[in-house]
Amino acid sequence: MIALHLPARSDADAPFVTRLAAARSADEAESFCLSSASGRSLWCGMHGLFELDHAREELIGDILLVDPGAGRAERLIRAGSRHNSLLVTEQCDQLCLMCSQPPKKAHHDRFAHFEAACRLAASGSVIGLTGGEPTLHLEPLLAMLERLLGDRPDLAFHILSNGQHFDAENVARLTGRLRTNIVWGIPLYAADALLHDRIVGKPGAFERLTESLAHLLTAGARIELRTVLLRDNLGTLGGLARFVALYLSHIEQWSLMGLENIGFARRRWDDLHIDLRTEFAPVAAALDQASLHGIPARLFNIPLCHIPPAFRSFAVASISDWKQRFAPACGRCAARSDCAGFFEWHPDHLVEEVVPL
Amino acid sequence: MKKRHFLISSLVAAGIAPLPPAQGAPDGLAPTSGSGGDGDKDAMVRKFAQDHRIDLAQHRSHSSHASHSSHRSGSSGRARSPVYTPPPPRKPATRPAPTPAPAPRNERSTPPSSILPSSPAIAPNTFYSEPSAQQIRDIVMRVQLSLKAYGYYDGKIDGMVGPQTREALKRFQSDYGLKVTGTITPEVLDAFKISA
Amino acid sequence: MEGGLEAAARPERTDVRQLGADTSIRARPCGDTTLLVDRAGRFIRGEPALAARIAEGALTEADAAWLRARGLLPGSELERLAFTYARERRRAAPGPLDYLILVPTLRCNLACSYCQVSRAAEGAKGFDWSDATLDAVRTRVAALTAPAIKIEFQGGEPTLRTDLIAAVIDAVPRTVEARFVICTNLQRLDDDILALFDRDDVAISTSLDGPLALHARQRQGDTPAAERFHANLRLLLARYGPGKISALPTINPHAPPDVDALIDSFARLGFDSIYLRPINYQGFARKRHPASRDAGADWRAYHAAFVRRLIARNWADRDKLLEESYFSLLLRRIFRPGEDRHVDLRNPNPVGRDYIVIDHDGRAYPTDEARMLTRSGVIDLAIGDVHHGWDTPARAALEAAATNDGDPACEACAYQPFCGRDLIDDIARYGRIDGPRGDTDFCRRHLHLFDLAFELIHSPDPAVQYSLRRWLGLAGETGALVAP
Repeated sequence: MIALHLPARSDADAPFVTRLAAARSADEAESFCLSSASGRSLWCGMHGLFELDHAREELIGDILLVDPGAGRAERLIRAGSRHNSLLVTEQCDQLCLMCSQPPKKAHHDRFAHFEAACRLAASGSVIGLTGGEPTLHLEPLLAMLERLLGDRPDLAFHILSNGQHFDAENVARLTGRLRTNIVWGIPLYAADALLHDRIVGKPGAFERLTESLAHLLTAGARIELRTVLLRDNLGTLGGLARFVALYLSHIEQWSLMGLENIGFARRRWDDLHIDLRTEFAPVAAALDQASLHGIPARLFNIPLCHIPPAFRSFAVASISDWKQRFAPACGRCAARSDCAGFFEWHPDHLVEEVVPL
Repeated sequence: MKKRHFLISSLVAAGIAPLPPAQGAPDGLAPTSGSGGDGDKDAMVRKFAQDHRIDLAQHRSHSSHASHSSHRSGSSGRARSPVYTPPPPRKPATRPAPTPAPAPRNERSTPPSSILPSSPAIAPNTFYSEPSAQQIRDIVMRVQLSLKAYGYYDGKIDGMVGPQTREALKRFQSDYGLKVTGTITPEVLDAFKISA
Repeated sequence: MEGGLEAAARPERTDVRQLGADTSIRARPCGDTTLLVDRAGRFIRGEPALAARIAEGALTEADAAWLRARGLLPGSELERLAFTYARERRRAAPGPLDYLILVPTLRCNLACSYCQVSRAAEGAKGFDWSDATLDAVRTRVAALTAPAIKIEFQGGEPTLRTDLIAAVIDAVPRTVEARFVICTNLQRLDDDILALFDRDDVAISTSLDGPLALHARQRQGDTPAAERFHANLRLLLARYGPGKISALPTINPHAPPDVDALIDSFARLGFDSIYLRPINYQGFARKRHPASRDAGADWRAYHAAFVRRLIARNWADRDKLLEESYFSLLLRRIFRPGEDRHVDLRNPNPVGRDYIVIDHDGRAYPTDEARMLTRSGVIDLAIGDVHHGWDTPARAALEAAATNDGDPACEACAYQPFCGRDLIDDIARYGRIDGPRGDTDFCRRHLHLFDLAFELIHSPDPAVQYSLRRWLGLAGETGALVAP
């Protein structure tokens, strides 16, 4: 596991964003390292001194949000990682059966910090925005994106959303770089409204989502459709594939995703989880339907040895570096570097069941 | 060019009518005749379809009666277990990608970035020392001592930046033309010749 | 059908009168049912009685619900807009110039019986690009703005002028990703030719008319010359593997080679993709093959038999996968809006926009067949030249006609979303483009092929499903492609 939050002590009187540098520079946004030992480092910048419980090595280039009051620094954007995401809110208006980030009532507005961090990001960075449901705060979110993409047209964003809050008015703002530089990651679990609604825990969600999808289609917005594979929707994947082929052929990608054993999924694991080694057929049929109609499809979060050989080309090494793990036997596997591996919190007994390729 | 005699003397003779002079080349996107809102949406969607077509088409080569594009592209003969062959890398020189790659991404993760951030040059740092880490408190105490020596601070030397220390720092920074932050900045360390 | 049934059960009434021209569903008999196809190319098989009610505008509520559940009758906003999107994606629109066919010389070292090109003898003078023409070609190439281009060298025999080929390749801007194809008879190889072939960005296209004796008869005229070709071909296959070389047969539709013999002659050399094309009766072909104008029914039968034979052979030997390229293209066009990189099958068919042919004398033609027709004295189809460009009234007139939109027969045809328009083929056969569609070979050929395609798409035979899945690039090998 890679630590995203570090214990920290700072003499500033309010949270601040800074980028960590090895050496001092003229850039006021940077803090440079005064000293470092194995578990601790001391930094100095325009926001003063601060100390992190981490050696300096892996931190160089990272963009941090240092919170003196909480005694903590959050690595918002890590240099050298392809998996950076900013948690916009923990509020959500859905309650998915397998939710990995169970919602909270309170919202802590961190848009100013996120904007500051994105401004410091390296050229061409792709930054994730996640939650909860980010579009519960669509106005400040879009405003931030408009400012950022105006000043930093090289940045790109991948934004998770349940698609419950798009309308003609707000979608009209998704033009120019807000169209080309944003991919919306939107879940859809079934073409059957009742089933989708049950899985996301919100009556009327499917209907509202299709309205949003219509608006987004008008705007030409880029969409990655995401479908977590569950016991509940495995049998209806064929119907969903047909729906996608008919009404969502414009999407960038359809991602079929293995279940993550965290949050609500953890207590429901046995009910929700599918062993794809024995039940891959519906997934195969859905992937074939997608290919048939020219829709790019991918498999996420599934180790290569759990996928029939003919379908391995759909798999992506998708699990973020900070929560990825492999079984000991994977050390012998020729395909390890292309493999998603497992989640850090995958049930141990299942992690052992690998076959090196 | 010498005049030749053709079996069919002109395009018109073959049934191809000349265009009236005013007509421009059609671009296939004639505006819809639908009512206001719906018609606009239709037009936007059709435009999106054409833009999308161009984006996608640029990666696939043409074929014609005289040839076909199956130089291992697109359709043909897969072996039993198709192995994904990525599209040929773009050899040409720097052409900034207009759109970012789509995201293989988990619930809380982000898509791959093809560009690693430039790592700052690791220059020799006269302030860098090892092996033992300095405590913030030590440095803060030294700053407090210096501020006291310069007459800006008369509070406790306790290694913690409280309101009094902040005020002192601000006044010091202001007097000496440094950026006024109320925090221990690199400039402050320079001014007091404090290294780690 | 899970999701669809839910959609159908929604309480909104569907006004059957809304089934207007835009969303009209067209019908075509398919076995003992009827194929129903909408204008975005979505299709389903239905009862003939339903097709009749559709044609009369007399849909029942149940009909409307049934069609809507299968995606042929958009209801919600998303469904409507998705239909508009898919329909528009099926329309070709010209992009920047990115496909050039260049004819640096008309001279050739062979005299194939069907030669469509009115070739010039190898020693003749005045049939190569002049210096001025070469300069103009290089200027045009250097000005290309498309990010990826394909340049095909035809002739005559282009390897007679490797210097001209190299000069063109050299003119391509650094920022453009280019692929080159050299169409050659492989009669002769030398160091200069091999130097070009060795390049990673060069592919080779050659004729292979089937078994050696047939190939020899149609092309070289004598067997030793044909054997030299064959030896050169095998040499290059050993040098590069089969991926770099494509081979195309030219077939006499009245005396086509035995299907298996033709397939074997390709498969044995490692070619798994065969593009069936009948002798085009232009140029010398018209003199030596007078019967080829009426290829029609014989050819269509041969093509279908060929496809069926491939299916059988693919099923019998799973380690090898063979395809007929044009049929595979049609399959892709059925399922995938936007499959329009084949310049002879797209609608509308842009003229002189993304694709142009530059002849040995610098004149510009919309297609290679147009060049051949002009060469053989049928009609002058040049639309300009490389010096002055080709944005001319002739180009505009051809482009305006190059569409199946508005043609009454096409507007009534279920296959219109998948089909195209080939003016040059019509002119070559009939001298006119404005005859009834159904009378043209193009239309009959495509009706026949689409009929075959839809029969196979709905076939429960696992052998058929296997080949179609492979041809469409699907990972799974078994199961029906579409709902029955």
